[in-house]
Amino acid sequence: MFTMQSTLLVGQYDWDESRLPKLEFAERIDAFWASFPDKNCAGLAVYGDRRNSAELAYFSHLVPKLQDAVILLPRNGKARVLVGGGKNAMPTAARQTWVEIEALGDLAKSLSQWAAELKGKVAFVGDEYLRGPAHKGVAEALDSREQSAQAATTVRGLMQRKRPREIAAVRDAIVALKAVAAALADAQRSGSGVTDAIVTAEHAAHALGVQEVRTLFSIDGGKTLRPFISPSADKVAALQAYIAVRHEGYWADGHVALSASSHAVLAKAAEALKALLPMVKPGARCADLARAAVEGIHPYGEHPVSAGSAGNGIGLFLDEAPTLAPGSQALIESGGIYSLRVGASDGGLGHGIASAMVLVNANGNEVLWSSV
Amino acid sequence: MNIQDRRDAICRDMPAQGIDLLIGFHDNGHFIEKPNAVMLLAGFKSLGPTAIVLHRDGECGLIVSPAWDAERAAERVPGAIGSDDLAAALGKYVERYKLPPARIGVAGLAGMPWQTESAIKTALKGEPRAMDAMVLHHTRRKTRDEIARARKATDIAEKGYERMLQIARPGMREDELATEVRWYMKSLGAEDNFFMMTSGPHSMAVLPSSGRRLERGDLILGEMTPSYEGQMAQICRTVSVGPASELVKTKYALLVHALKQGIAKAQPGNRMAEVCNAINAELEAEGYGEFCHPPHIKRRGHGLGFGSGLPGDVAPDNDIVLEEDMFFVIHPNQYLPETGYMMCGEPTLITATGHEVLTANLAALAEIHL
Repeated sequence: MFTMQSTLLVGQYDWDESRLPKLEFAERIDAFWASFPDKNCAGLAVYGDRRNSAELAYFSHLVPKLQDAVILLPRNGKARVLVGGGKNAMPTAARQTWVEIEALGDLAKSLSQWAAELKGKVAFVGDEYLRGPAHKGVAEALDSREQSAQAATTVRGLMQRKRPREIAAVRDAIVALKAVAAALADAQRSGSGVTDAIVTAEHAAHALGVQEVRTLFSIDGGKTLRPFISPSADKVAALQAYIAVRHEGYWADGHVALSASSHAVLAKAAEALKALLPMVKPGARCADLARAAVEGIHPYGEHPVSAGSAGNGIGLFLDEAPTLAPGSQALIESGGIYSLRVGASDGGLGHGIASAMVLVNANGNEVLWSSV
Repeated sequence: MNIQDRRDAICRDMPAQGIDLLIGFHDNGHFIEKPNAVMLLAGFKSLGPTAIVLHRDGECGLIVSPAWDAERAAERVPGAIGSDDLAAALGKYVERYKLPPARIGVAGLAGMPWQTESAIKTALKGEPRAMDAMVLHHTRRKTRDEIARARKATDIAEKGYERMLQIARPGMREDELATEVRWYMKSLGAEDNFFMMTSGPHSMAVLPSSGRRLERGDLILGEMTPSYEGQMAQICRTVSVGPASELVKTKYALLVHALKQGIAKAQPGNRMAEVCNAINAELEAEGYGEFCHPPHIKRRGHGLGFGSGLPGDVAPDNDIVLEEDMFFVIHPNQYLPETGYMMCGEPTLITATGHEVLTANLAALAEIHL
């Protein structure tokens, strides 16, 4: 889901060793090197910024609040994190990671120097987040396009299969998601204006120590969603909202529909979602699930927000692979957590989106949260 | 001036610049110091990769992603197009005009991720001309609506600060305090906020908040920058947890005095450098010259977006001449060896005859009574 990004993160991003001990990260790193096909690669560098930090956080816990960062993981040796912002930024960043930190100067120069120290190839993950000059500099410094592509595939593959502590973090995020949904419903019932209701609901998540809450809401009966830009005292009778909550780095998200009375389109979306849920099991084809979602809402059309996708993986990424799209070749995997959404529209006044999050296991799935 | 006047001025300038089309880009990477051509020219805060297209005859188009955001975009630019592939949609749009890339100007393209930039250049069939400076030049003065929003954002910042004074207590985590105050400002209408806040008995700088717990004797540093409908305002404040020492009070008074000297120089016709130099002169006279320059300090304020950073930094090398409706923060935030870093700063609007500080209350050292 596209959501509005904040210019500066302010939530609780410090590393809590009791939740994610060093051993957890050591095991993730070992798993990477064990899975990585290029056995001659000497090091892995994983880059992140305040918008795109999933892979970086997977290995370091660090979610950059302001400046960019990169973790350097030698095949043999000690990990380091380089953080932008000069020496004054170090104390805050140091609280966010288990890794020793140093100041990041020029990214390409730092990577070039590290590759020279290692006397071998360095794979780089996070290239697509860079601007043109940085991308060019890193490409020239490392000359490891093939290894980097393999590394990105390997890392994202590992991230899709959630480890027990990751599942625990997502469950905590879902607690906050439920709290926001409940607070939104309360505010809606009490007659709050639409943006007051949204802001009140967000507060419920902050009280649970989340890192970030993002919301979208409708003012047109669920036809479109929009971010909070301007306060509005308007009361919305049929409120469709999207909520995303990040806790300990991990996201939970969902769509809720709040209306005094049910309507046929939303009911159809809910029915289609319910029919979809048991189909989400290991080996299921994402394309088949996407088609089933569309068939399930017949005779209605797809809601614009969910058109072309019945959901995606979720975790450190809000939108993680695979996407449940008609053209996808991907399969549902055991250990994956998926955010599902089925939206329907009659092209007139009737619109609705139903959603759920599931943890897929060997026997099928566990519904972690559902709007229906 | 309104946003249409701004667009018209750019369109009038396009023949002289040798372009027939100007395309401004932005995505969801909203940042206080990143120029945002889409916000400046369309008043639209984007969720995804977005382009505004200005034609030399005054026609205006907006292409947004995701596709489902088109209706919100059309509230700003009627007829806005929604697409999940900005480059493809833009290519199709521009194709109609059969323009060589050299006749197309772009702003903000270099700020997009490289793959997006590359796809757009392919869609435009070559290398367009970077016109970022032209857009910034024409957006150096705020529109009537932006000034109204800046006033509202300033009011929210001051109320947020009052809230901080009410709830800050020893034992509270910085990030807990920052989250609560930021949320409070959102409840007042701030859709975003560049809110830096740190604490300590002797800070070196202001930083994003962390899990550090407040202690008696700390100075809390707050750089509160709420955005109201996409226009930011900023105040800088310092709060003592418990009674402040006489030394801190004395040194803070020096900073506020320097602030006033800087504000006094904020006049139409003056160079921005004069504002900075007036502040530095006061501190240098007290023996802090070493701390008035890099690596300690490089500027005494800056323009306020989202959107245009102009009139730029309040810095000794900024020779931009101040004009009516320019808006920026003046902040003599300073590390002093005796006290550590302290902050004071006010959002300032240049008027036809002088300046207007938008805050109701000028920075003063506050104390949390324990």
